[in-house]
Amino acid sequence: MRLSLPVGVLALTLAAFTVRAVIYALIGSPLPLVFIFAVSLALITAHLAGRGAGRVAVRVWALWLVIYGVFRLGLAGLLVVAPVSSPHAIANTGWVFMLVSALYLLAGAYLVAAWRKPVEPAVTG
Amino acid sequence: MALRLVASLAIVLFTAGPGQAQEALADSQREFIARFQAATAPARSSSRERGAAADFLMAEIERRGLTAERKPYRAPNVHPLLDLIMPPFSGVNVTATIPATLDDAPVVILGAHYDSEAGSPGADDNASGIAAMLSIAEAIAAEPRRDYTVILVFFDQEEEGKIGSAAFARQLVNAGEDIHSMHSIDMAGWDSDGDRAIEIDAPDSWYPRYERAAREMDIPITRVTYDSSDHVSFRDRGIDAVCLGEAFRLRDSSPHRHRSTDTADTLNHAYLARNTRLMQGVLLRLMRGQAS
Repeated sequence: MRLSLPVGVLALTLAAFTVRAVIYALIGSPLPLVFIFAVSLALITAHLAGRGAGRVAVRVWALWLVIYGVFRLGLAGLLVVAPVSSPHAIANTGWVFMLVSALYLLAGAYLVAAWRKPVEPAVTG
Repeated sequence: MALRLVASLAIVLFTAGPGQAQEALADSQREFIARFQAATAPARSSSRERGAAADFLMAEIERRGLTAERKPYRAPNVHPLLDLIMPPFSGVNVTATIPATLDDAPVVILGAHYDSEAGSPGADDNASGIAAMLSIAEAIAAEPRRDYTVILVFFDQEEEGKIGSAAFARQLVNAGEDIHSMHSIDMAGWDSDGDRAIEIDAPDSWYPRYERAAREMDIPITRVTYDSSDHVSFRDRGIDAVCLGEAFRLRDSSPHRHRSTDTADTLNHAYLARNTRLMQGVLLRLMRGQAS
């Protein structure tokens, strides 16, 4: 895998989840660490398997990012329509949360497009 | 300044008769709750509001001649799946330590939460508990014999699901502290029918001591079990934990709870002072080695 913009975006999305995983692991919650470990393992295994499996795995991850971004934006919108009393939820679903959610959504959409199956060159004459 | 304040309060409390002492305590708690409410208006819910409350409590502890400490924490969300979406909780517990007069003494925790529901000044819930704990801590600090180290702690984020107390209990257990017991007050300033009744959630090892003290003070006491206050964070870790409060089961608890009307002027300060003296009496006996 050569270093390129799609690879860089993929690496950034994985890094974002890894940072979250480390923060939570330090305070006793292992789920984000288990999640990113499973995702990384799946991506590496698929990449090593070859025959397009790596591309499929990245597109599944990209699709997850799109769903994740949409879910987060939906959650933030829902909390505007139906406010909750939790100061933690209120404080952490503001414009920064929405901006980050939009970035996940854009990154996912970009990765879906960037890891499309390459078009076979047309054979002529 | 701090010593003068403690000394003058001690003189008032120890030279006056029980009735006068209770009146003086009620007056000082009324004044404290009004100041706390004014300094943290309109509530102690958002991060900024809770920060102001922590600053206020730090200053109040220092005024009493004790050394206040901030204990910041981060904690996972209430549901693990939320950890994939939301940032962790973050907050600050405010503590002060009153050392034992013996070496290697176990630790007794005195706790009350300082946050309130959004939009609520939280006079009963739970400035009443804070006022009581400060008074008890003063009395213990003035005691010449202390068989236990006392950690006074004001918990953050109880209203979010006992987040601050859970984090504090985890910190203490991880630090290997020898914790003897935990005593808390949550909402102890409402008694509309004047029957002086209280409820207490206490383990078998502690209920008889509170029951005896209540009998001596002619306070009707009911033993209950509930999971909605900070003592549960300690009970869940196998620590003897007690929580004292107003008569919820007898339907004589504050109708202002979690509302903008939970203000200092709605409280029964004589009732709060009596409840404070009840817990103080039990804990002073413990400090003097008279616990049985």
